[in-house]
Amino acid sequence: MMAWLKRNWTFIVGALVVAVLVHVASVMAIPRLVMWRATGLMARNTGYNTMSHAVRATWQSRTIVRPSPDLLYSSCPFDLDSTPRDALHVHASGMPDTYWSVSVFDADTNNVYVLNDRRAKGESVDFVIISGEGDDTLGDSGPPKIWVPTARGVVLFRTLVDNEARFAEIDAARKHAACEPYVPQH
Amino acid sequence: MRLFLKCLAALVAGTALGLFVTWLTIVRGASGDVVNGPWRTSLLTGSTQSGALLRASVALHGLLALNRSETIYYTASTDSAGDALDGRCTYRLTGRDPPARWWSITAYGADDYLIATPSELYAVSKNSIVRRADGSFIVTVLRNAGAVDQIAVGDGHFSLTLRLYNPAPSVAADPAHAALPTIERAGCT
Repeated sequence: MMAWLKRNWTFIVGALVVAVLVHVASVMAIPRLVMWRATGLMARNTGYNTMSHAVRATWQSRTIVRPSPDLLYSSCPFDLDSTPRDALHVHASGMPDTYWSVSVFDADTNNVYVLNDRRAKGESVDFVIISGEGDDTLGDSGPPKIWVPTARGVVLFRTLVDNEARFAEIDAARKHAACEPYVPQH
Repeated sequence: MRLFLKCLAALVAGTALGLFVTWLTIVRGASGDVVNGPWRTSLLTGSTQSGALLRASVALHGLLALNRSETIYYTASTDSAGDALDGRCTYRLTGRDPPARWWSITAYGADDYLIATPSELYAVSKNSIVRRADGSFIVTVLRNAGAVDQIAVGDGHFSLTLRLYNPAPSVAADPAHAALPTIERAGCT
């Protein structure tokens, strides 16, 4: 055994180096791969840069792990590179009178922005997502700009069904959430 | 030729070992560095400051999780005695309303999705539980649930996620000591 180890120690060390590199690379790659698959599934029917309103989660919901059945999810997978001005407009007015949040995730799964009904203080949701160095010609006018590190990601609205008797009303109101490529109004 | 085969063997063995370690730490590993009884959480979930291991774990087991200012997620894969949660057993969750604007407890299968059961009672929440006179509640987790303060989990292994929406600042300040429900095994078949 010792003789075999002495004869092959360089290969053993080499294998351990490869193991460390593969481990680090796979850990770094997992978030982006998982997000890439998830946004692809979300965009399967409606494409990127548009909002879709999922039905309430059941055991048949297989797009995103660990969905919450007391929330209604509306998602907008985005690809800023495919928009005319590298910018996405996210807006919603008339959201229901219950807990809701809108969150932005980058391609590495980081939650880079979140706003909820209390912080919105009854105001409508209205912001523009930009990435990279952004489009300088957008200027400071128009809706607030939210900077995202990557051109791809997801905008996710979560709306709580806190009263089953109000389900239809809440479901209808949360569908006011929308997104589309941003074009400034001059 | 022999040298080439040895190099190839080292490459294959190293790749396999690296992927196995990743599987062990990310796919199989428990997420969350904060322990509160049977519950685990991490305050860095969803944060840009989270490390590579946590980010990978969240991507696989809790994709699109919000950061702690919005929601804190606790997950339990064992009961309060440390035994793995098993659908062949019945459990009692006893506690009081956690300090948050809204809370819910949801069961997930080993694949991290909601569990198919006839009743489709996946979760309980602040508004669905029945409180006793002193404000406490008991939620029963069992194979085939049938009441609003019960959760159905089928036959296999499962885990529970406790979501605290807009948690009180005290939870983020000391998540290991927040008052959370206990998980007691009542019996097995």
